[in-house]
Amino acid sequence: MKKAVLFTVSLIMISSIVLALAVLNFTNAQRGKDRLAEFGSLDRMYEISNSIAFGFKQIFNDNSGINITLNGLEVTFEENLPNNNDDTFSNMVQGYKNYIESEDANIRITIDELKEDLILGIHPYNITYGHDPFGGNKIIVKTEQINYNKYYVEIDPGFSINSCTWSTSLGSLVFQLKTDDAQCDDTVSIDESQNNVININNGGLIITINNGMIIENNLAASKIITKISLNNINEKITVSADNIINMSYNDLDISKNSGFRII
Amino acid sequence: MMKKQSWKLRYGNKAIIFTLDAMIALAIVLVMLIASNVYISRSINELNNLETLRGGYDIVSMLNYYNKLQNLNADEINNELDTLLSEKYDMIIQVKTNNQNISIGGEKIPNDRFVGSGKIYSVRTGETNSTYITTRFWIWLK
Repeated sequence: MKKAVLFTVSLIMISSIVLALAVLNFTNAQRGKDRLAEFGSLDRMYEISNSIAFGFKQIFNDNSGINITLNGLEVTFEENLPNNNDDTFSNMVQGYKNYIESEDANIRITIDELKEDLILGIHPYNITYGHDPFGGNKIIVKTEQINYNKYYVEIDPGFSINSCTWSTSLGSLVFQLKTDDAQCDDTVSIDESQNNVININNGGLIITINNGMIIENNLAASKIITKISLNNINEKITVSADNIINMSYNDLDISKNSGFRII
Repeated sequence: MMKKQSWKLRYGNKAIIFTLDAMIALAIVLVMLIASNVYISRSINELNNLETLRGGYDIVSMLNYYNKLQNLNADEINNELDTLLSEKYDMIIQVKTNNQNISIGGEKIPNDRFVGSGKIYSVRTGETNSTYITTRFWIWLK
């Protein structure tokens, strides 16, 4: 009798274990199916977002009049100041925004800041390169922390340089200015927490370095090359316009906010 | 005194109850195993479908990055498609602008198997204006 009871109990236990494994397998398979559906949706979203970003990059490269290069730890921005591509660029991005939003109601394109100031971020350094406004006479470089070691500004002036005055405080940040007038050129070490001013033609073109840099040109349009030498933090350097493409699919409960990368 | 039998079977009740119990338990386990197996096989299919869809996106993205879509040249896109598309797939690509509509590849979208579909956007920039492009695709296993 005891043997029979033991046999039945062990059989029930084995059956229960097999049943539990079967149920586990069943629920895992169901979950796997849901995850795959989510992967598919995320893939679709990623690809659409990437294609839109690529379009913005093409518009930027072809119509902004700004050339950006990355050479090692040096990021270089080259453009005319004032930049007369503002209207064309603005119309292009507005047209692209209108087109995309008319094609897909789940996508919102935010371009107000892009059109107005054309602010670009250097990541992961929290440095921005922008304008006030784009098409205006100011280039503004904003920094969050000292993770760079040199500013290099090259000016190909659309005017003759008559005077050049430097007012700087000694520090550890290297600043180099190059123009077509050798008497104006210099390389100095400055304290960027102080107000450092280089004044060309008595306020015609002013470079101010004070926790960031402002280049203001009140004279004829001039080509400005701004080079920022970054400290090595062993991370990939990218330059992008951020928070442009907002995608939200409420039925899938997923959303994505991204910009477009230039470098 | 002999125990009363519920069923008038030759060998009594114990064996049949035990057998029934085992059979019911086995049936439940088998149903669960078959159901889970069906789900797993479906998941594998879903994974293949996902790969098909990814393959389609890879191809249109390549065409986009190499500016083949922007040129709006059906022959050029078709040539690239022949190079990029694996032999086991068939694909239709439709490139649409405000005033042009180009269809490349494939003959007819099948309705007896999984067809992955998607779209991407691109732009062809000019000096003063741009052409905005929507590219849709349908891809399936041959």
